[in-house]
Amino acid sequence: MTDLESMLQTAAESEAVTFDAADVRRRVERRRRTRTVAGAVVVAVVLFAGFAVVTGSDDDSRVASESGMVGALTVEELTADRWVPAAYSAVTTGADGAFVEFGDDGSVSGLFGCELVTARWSVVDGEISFEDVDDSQSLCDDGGGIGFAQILRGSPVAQRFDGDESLSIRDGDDFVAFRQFDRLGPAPTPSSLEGTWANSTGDGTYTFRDDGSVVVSVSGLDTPCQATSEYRLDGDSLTIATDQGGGIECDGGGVVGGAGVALVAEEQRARIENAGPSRLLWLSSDFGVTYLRRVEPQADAEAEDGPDQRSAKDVAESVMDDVFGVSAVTMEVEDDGPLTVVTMEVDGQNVVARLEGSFGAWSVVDIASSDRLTVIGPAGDDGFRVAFDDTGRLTVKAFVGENEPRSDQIAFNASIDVDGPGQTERYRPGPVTWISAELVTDRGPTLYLLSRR
Amino acid sequence: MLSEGPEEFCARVRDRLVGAMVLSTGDHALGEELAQEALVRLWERWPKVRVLDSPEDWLFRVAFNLVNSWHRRRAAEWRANRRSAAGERAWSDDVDREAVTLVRAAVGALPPRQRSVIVARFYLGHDVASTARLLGCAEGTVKATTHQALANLRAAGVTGEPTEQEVLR
Repeated sequence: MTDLESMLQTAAESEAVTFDAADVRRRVERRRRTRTVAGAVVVAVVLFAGFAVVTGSDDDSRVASESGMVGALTVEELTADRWVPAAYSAVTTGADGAFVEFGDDGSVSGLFGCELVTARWSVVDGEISFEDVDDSQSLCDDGGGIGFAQILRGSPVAQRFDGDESLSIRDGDDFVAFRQFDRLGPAPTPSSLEGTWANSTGDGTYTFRDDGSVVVSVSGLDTPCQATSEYRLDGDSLTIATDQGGGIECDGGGVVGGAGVALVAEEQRARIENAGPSRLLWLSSDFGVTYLRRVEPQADAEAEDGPDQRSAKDVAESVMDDVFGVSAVTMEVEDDGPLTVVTMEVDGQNVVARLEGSFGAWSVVDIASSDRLTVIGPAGDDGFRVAFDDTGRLTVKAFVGENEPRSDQIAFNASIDVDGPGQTERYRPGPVTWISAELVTDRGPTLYLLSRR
Repeated sequence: MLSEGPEEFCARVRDRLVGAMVLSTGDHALGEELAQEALVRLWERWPKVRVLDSPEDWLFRVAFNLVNSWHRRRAAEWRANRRSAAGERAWSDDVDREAVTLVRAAVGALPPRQRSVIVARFYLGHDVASTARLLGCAEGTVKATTHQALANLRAAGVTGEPTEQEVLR
């Protein structure tokens, strides 16, 4: 054994391990129970939504009786377009670039991260069924994918559940909710593309310029890098040229792709969706669907003004005071290392807000808008690499009113946020029932918090 | 195909996995959290994992991915801090804590790939070829990364590096 090996062994094994296999088993069982509860909530909403479709609209009922139907969905709708996932029953972070397509030849294929699924579909007595299901999930090295093949192998029910061009494929507690790509929003124009867009995992950005160039940056790698290329927009077809054979050369090293930002020369269909103050750019290609969030230029400009240090309590108070007219009646802040727990009373209801990350290190630079807080990240003193511009964005979303049969609210119940900030515009005013916040930085999104106590 | 169950498998690989995660994160509690998370994933997928050529490689690859995922790591940090606050740390009696801290900090500060290579090669005992398979990269990348990582460790005050022959084995 070399000296280095000996030193590493000592450093690795100098403290006793405090868990055993029984602890792992208990954690597995606890997680299964949690998923079952979450799934039950989701199913309840889906069922309610399905009930609303059946009972709430004469037009929908008529269409259902006149067309070949798959649940509450026409076959024509099913096969007309690519479907992109909006929500899952399982919390997953690895489904970027996912889609599913139903062919009118009876084939169905889907891609969910590393999980490629193929099957045959048919409709019998108005019910969809799947057979010959094959998948590549064994190739997922970290449990990626979303278990879509398992859903198809069960007794899935396909259903359009909120009149919002959304499709749910559900088997028991497990489901995936999709949205139709062409219904996401209009095709972009060159001017609407201009600016910086960040991918959902926060480790890549596209910056479209008015001279027809685009800068693609990738972080989260050993060697963060960027490349400049040209783009062409023709209708909703976006083509980004590349000379690197599908990737970006970094410091002469390996070709990298990563997290949905690989430069590809093929055409991509593009859609821009407004979600309140946030805008999403959806790119669909043969490799999947990637959605990018618009990085507000204002945030970049203000970030240059320098930090304005605030305490966690100040931050939380400011956020709560400014968001959606909600104010914190009482507030207690508990600093616990990297975790700050803020307990507050809002509109007479106790909620617990957990703002992860030290706000002593995160400096606030802007609370300009009612639901947005811009922060500058620490300069790498937490041991993590700092990405290109260190800026981040904390958005807080309040969910008001009772649950409504909408896909995005199902997404919330499934602990996955789809639309970003601005969802409140879709909901009628009412008592605050849920609040959530999401810190989005170049280094990756961190989803927090909150539950009603 | 493994004949043992997930419980036996966990018990068998636990210490090495925790050790690798402690080195990779520089923190014992966080290392334990990530090790547990990797073992949970293995347990949930046991029917598929047990038939793989090397379930251990699958497990360690998942674990390294967890370390390198900022998002997932943050969640584990939160749990680890909760656990750390709740109990005393159980150090071995004869350990030089200062030296341990130095080594952990130095390894933990390496870029992700360098860190994974160092742990795989000089703690887990993989050679160049098996390290490349484990981390999903070329053997040449492993060699180059090893040299870079050793230079960084040396700069951080960690000496006792292996010979050139040992690096290339």
